[in-house]
Amino acid sequence: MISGRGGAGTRGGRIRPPRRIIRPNGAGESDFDVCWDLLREALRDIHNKNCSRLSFEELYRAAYKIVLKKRGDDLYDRVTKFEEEWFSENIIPKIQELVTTSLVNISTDNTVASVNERRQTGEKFLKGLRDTWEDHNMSMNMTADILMYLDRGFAHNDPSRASIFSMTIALFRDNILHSCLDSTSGKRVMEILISVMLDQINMEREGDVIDRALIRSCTRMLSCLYKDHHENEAEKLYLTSFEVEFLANSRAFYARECEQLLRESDAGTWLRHTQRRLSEEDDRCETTIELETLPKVSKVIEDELIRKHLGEFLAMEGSGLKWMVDNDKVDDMSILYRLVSRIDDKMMALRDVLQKRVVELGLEIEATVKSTDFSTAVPDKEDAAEGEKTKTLNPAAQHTAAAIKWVDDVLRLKDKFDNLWTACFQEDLTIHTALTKSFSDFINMFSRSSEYVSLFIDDNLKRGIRGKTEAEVDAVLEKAIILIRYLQDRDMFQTYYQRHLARRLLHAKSESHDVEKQIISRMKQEMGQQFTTKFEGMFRDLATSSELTSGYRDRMSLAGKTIDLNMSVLTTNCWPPEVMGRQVQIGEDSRITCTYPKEIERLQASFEQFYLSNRNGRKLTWIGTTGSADIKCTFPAIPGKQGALSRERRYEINVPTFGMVIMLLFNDIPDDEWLTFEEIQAKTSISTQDLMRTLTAIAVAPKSRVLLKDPPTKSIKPGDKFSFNAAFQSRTVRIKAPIINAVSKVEDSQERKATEEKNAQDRAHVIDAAIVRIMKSRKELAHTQLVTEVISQLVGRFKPEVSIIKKRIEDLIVRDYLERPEEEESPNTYRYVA
Amino acid sequence: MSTRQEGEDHDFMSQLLLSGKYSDFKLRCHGVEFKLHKSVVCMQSPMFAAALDGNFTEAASGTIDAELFDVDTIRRLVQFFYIGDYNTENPSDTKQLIIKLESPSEENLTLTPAGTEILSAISVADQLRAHIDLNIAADYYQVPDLLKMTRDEVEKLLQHHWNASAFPELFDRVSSVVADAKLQSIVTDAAARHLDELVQLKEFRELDCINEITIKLLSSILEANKSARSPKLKSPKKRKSTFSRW
Repeated sequence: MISGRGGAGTRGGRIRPPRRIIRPNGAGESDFDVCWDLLREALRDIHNKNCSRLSFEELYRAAYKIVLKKRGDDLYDRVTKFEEEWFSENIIPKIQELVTTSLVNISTDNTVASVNERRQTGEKFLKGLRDTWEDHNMSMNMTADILMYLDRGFAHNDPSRASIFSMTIALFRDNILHSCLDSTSGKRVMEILISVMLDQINMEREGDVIDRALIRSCTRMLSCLYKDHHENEAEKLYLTSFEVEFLANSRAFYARECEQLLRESDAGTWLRHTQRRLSEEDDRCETTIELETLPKVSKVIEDELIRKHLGEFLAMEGSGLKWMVDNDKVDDMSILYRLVSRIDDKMMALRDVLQKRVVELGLEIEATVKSTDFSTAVPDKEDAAEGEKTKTLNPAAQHTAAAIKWVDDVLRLKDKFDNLWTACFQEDLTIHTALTKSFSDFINMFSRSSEYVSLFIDDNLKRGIRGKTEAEVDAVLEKAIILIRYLQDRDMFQTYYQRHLARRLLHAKSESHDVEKQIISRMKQEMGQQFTTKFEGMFRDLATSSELTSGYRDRMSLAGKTIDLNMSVLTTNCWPPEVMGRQVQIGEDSRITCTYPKEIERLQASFEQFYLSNRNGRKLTWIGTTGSADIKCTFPAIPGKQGALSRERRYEINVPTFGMVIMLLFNDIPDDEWLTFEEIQAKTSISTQDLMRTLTAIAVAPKSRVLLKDPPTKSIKPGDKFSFNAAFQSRTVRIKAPIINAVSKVEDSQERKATEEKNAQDRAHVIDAAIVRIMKSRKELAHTQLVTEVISQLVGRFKPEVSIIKKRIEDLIVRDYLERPEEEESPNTYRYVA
Repeated sequence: MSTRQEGEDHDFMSQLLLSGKYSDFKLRCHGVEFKLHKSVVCMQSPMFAAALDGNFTEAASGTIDAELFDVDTIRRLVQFFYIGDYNTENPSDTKQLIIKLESPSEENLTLTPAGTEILSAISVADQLRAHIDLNIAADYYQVPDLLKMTRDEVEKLLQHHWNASAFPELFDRVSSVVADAKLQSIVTDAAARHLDELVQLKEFRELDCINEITIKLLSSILEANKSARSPKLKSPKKRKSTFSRW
């Protein structure tokens, strides 16, 4: 600070006469009176709006002098007294005039006068009050300005005393608002004011136009005044007097309105009306009253117009939520969502109705699929190609059609709700969870869902994706994955998928291996490595097999032989047991047994030698059921016949492996000799079922009937006789006998039962494994804990029933994997036995 | 007092004040007019704000009279408004005042190391007077920062440059025209420290606010204090024992 040093001292001690400021002290009492007279005149001028000739500095100085003389208290009191007198002489009479009988009537009974009259009377009163207030407010601001030093003086001495401004401004409250100017009704001005304001607001709610700015001036006035001199923000008159009344009034108004809507309107009207009311109140708080009321009045609407009768509106017949969902009322539901989200962020009411509807619609799909007769569906091209001449579809195709319809409908339903979710529900997560759960619920309620989903994929991969662009294929894959996600019994799906995939691969029915691999990699992402191991193994097998095939062919050609042998070497565990002949059905021999003709046995031996040459210790089992063979047949010319039959005919026929075995039998006997079913079986030892299927392909199917059958019925029975069909002819040289497969596309109820039984068995093993795994690590565990852990471990595969888990535990105890500890205190505990 | 950086910061403010450019009101004091800016002054003084914002003559004429104070005090007040500081020299015009502040007198800095220089009684009295006058003005115009600054200056002067002969005049003014209670405390504290010196001083004894009985009271207090101080040597022991008993 430069002033602290140098300065005057360095100027050689120049002595200046002491300069004194004009001292305000001196004559005591008279000085105060002079100053007060000056100020009083100024206050009067201020009230009379005649202040432009006043000098602020002069007045301020007057107040300063008084305070400096320690007479601030006196000044304060005199100002108070002056203002009070001013009120009683000049202002109260004016207000008194405004308080007319008709005005008081508004607050007691608003049916007396017409709306127009009421509005005019009310506005007149409000205007008068507002003008008075604004005058007072301005005067007090100016007064406070010139007495500014007084406040400063008090700030030091007496903090409990209100500032000059808050004291004088509050005079308005005490002398006007809290005074009773109408002796007949005994109402205070404040009560009249509030009821007039509310009356005006209600008029606006009923559709009238009111002077919003006028109301706002009044609310502003109430916001500037406080309940007492502490000026607590929470005790503004606006809050303590007006807002309370306003909210009560609004509540009554909207309760009445909601009752009326419930009686007279539909849900759509209610939605739009409520939405409009909300925005109106929003607007009102913005322009007519104070913004801080908005959350409170919004809550009133939420309570009265939304929450109280939400259930009733949602349930309205022909306009409620169900109707909106069914008719895709996007706008209605968007509004509904916004309204409901105001009162309940969990969306309980909305969620419940939606969930119920999803399940209802889902079950409807199931019912429709069950009741629709698919036998008259459009003839399937594939079936025609396979030589089925029936117009009506065979049961398998019917099932496929049903499965596809079911899946399509479910996907359509899913699309519908997805759209609603995006368009109406702002992608609300709780609603998404709820919808997903409902979808999962009804899909899993349908016992064939796993099979149908797999069939859907099967159908798409066989022909559905033909000619589709990559994006379209991708969409199909995505759909498939969505459905798989919903499935609870993933092990069931796994079984079906394995079976369908095996069929597609072995019979080369798959449209695209790329797509197959894509879908498997997607499943892997969704369901995990374990889920797809077997499927991947199947692909690996086929890849190695084609290498083997070419390797064998090369080896043979080195030896000078040309052998056209396509091998599929399948790893037992990866392929469905039906294909591998592991499934031993009641009353049937093992299906892989077959006595092959000598030439075939030689070929087998040759390949086995090749295969085992660098794969020691492996065992090959030949499965005839899934293979096929091309046979060149020569049908001799039949003497005495015309046309094609008169010439020798050579055909190349593709038949199942067993078909080849059977046909070779007829090479060894004369053309006109017959073999019975039993004789054939004795020679080939093919199982009855397979033999029947194979014979159907070569003795019944019209385009490949190389054997004659007696009696010539359409079904094969034990005891039938067969002989060479010398008169066979065909328009094409290459003929494909239909594959009458053991593994039918869709199961009949008996097969289904078998599948389920097998699945139950598998599950038992899986549960056993899970229990042992858990117990091994935990050593000792209570029953309920064990059950919970098992369920949580298996949740990705299926949902085990508690009773089954219990049974497995019992079984494991019997087998000495677990034991119940002897101790008494833990009756429901198990211990792992190492 | 200020680094070069600060000086540059204040540069345009000084220019505003010196040139009077863009001025939107005048402060008139005993015939001297200061061309000032509402945006600068009203932000620091609610009194000026009220005067210029209201419906009074000042707002219409754009002129405020400051007859309560002398020109130098008003000059320092204005200086403070614009550069946040003031000096106690009394240059004859505003321009000089600003320039002086801009370049601290290097002469003085080299001649007398800070804090150690000994000021003459007259110089101390002058400076005290200037600070006190400015304190009154700061209180009147309600400029809290300036109030604090003047207090600090007075306190510094009284601590480092105590000069009994300059004190009675100060004491008189503080007792009669200073409303700032904190400044009053600073001055009375200083008086209490130097009480034995002051009660002997004729100028002090003859002050309006001091009468005979006051002097007697003060002398008695001094006596009482002296006798209390002599047995003080014993007191630490006593206090110790009191503590240990607890």
